[in-house]
Amino acid sequence: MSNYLIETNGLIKSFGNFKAVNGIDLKVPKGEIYGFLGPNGAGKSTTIRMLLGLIKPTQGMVQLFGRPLKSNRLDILKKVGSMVESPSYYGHLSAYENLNITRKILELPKSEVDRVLQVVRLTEVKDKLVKKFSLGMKQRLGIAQALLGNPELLLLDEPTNGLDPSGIHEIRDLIKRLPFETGMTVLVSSHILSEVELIADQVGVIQKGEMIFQGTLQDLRVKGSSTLIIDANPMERALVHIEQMGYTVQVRDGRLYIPEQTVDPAEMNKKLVMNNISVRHLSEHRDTLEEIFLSITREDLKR
Amino acid sequence: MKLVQLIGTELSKQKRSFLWLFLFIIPLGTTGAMLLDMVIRYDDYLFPNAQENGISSWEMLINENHGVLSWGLFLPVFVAVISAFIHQNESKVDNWKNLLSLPVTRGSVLLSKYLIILVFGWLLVLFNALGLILVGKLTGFPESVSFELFGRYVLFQFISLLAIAAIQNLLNVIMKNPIFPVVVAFVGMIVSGILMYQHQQIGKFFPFLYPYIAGDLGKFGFNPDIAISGGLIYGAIVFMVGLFVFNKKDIV
Ligand SMILES: Nc1ncnc2c1ncn2[C@@H]1O[C@H](COP(=O)(O)OP(=O)(O)OP(=O)(O)O)[C@@H](O)[C@H]1O
Ligand SMILES: [Mg+2]
Repeated sequence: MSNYLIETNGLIKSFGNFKAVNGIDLKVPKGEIYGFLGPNGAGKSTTIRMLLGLIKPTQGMVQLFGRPLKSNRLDILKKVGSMVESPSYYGHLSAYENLNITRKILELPKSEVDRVLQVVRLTEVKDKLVKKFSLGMKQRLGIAQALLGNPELLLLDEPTNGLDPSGIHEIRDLIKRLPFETGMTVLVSSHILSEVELIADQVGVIQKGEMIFQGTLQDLRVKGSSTLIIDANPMERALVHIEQMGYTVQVRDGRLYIPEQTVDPAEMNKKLVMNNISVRHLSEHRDTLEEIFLSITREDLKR
Repeated sequence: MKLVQLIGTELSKQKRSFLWLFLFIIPLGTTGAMLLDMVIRYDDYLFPNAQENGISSWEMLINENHGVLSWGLFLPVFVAVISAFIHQNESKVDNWKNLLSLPVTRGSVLLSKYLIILVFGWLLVLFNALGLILVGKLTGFPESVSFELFGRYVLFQFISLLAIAAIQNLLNVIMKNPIFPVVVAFVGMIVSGILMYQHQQIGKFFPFLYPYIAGDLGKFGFNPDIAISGGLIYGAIVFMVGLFVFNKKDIV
């Protein structure tokens, strides 16, 4: 048995001729936070819906807790908390009453409602009708609902959607604590890398229904390129020298740009100085994760 | 199955709902209308007429309620409204995905909706009948209340609603907008009205007519047993179809 808590094999979902999800092999290790990334319309929500059995896959298999979802749906869902897309709620009921409905179905003690209200800090407004809530409050309520009963697996689809910066921060902290405090495995989807960058151990990046990257953030970083930027005097001789070393050089704004990953900046500096070229500025620019993310999702768009 | 929990939560969801008002207002309206009918026509026309036809005042009152006021024809539309009330909770902000992500079978969810629609429909029937008894008492009918008559009237309607509730439940599952099934029931009512007068043989197979047939005390000559067998058969078949459809449905 593998130690992946979520594992899908060749998961496909077609809507008519359109493949919203096209052969995804999702692998989410137990006890980790998995960032599920992709631009709008990439197929994140569709995938998450298949993980919950809300949508039947056109092809492929979903395994949760090492068991096929298809034949163990009820047992599996007892251990899963989720919030898919926009939060769902009964607007004419209060936050407490909303949570109480889910609590009754899950057959949990009443104290659970108070606990999750506390966790998302809605205790003070628990008796207010949810239709009067702000989007951020509804979002919190959705998260609270997902947390009822301390599930072993938490699926959150864009949980910080509509939250203000402090709310985003708060939810991020909350998610980060979960595996640590309760051993929970969390899958969080987002279309912005920086939202999960600080909390995720693993990321999967999907684009047009296909997984274009899956692995640790470290692995993703390696995919980025770095550029060496040099300001030297005299410029022309520096240019010739560097080209003789076999690098391609671009000249922009009176600076030299070497878009190459394998240049050792110290070595480069030494060679230039030894050839009597004075180096006024030498710096290395590494792609940020966000830039890497944008470039791989954009590359794929061109296909 | 969690059926008990689900039914409990269906009731909780109706907190502060207009459904309760609806449940109160409709029978109030029928009671008021029948009272007016009796005040105006009982002594001079309805009572002597009933005597002539050899029926009791109570039977006459049920006929007035069921046929003249057309309670029996309207009932499916009322049940459709109840079903819409119950389903709109899930369709409004896409609550289906939430509910069905919990460890519950779709079958038990569908069944809980069906039962709750039935219970509310039955309450409506019951309140209407209790209203009639009140009207008879207030008017001062000479005969004592026949509980057999009323028991039968109510029970037959209950069973006829097995079909209607199953149909509306299915329609509300298929159609995203909860109002459309009410429109279907309304069209069903109009068709029932036509079949009742002109095509009684076809009418026997038309489920929207069953609540009417259930209370037909001979005016149009339907055999009320049709409402029993029809209600049971349609109820079972349509519910199974609903189960099949609901189980296959993608919640998107
Ligand atoms: N019921 C449906 N019928 C047809 N197409 C659909 C349906 N549901 C989703 N799609 C399409 O599938 C694609 C993936 O949608 P999905 O909602 O999974 O994307 P997403 O990654 O969650 O996007 P977002 O970041 O905007 O939430 C989109 O192009 C969408 O239009
Ligand atoms: Mg989405």
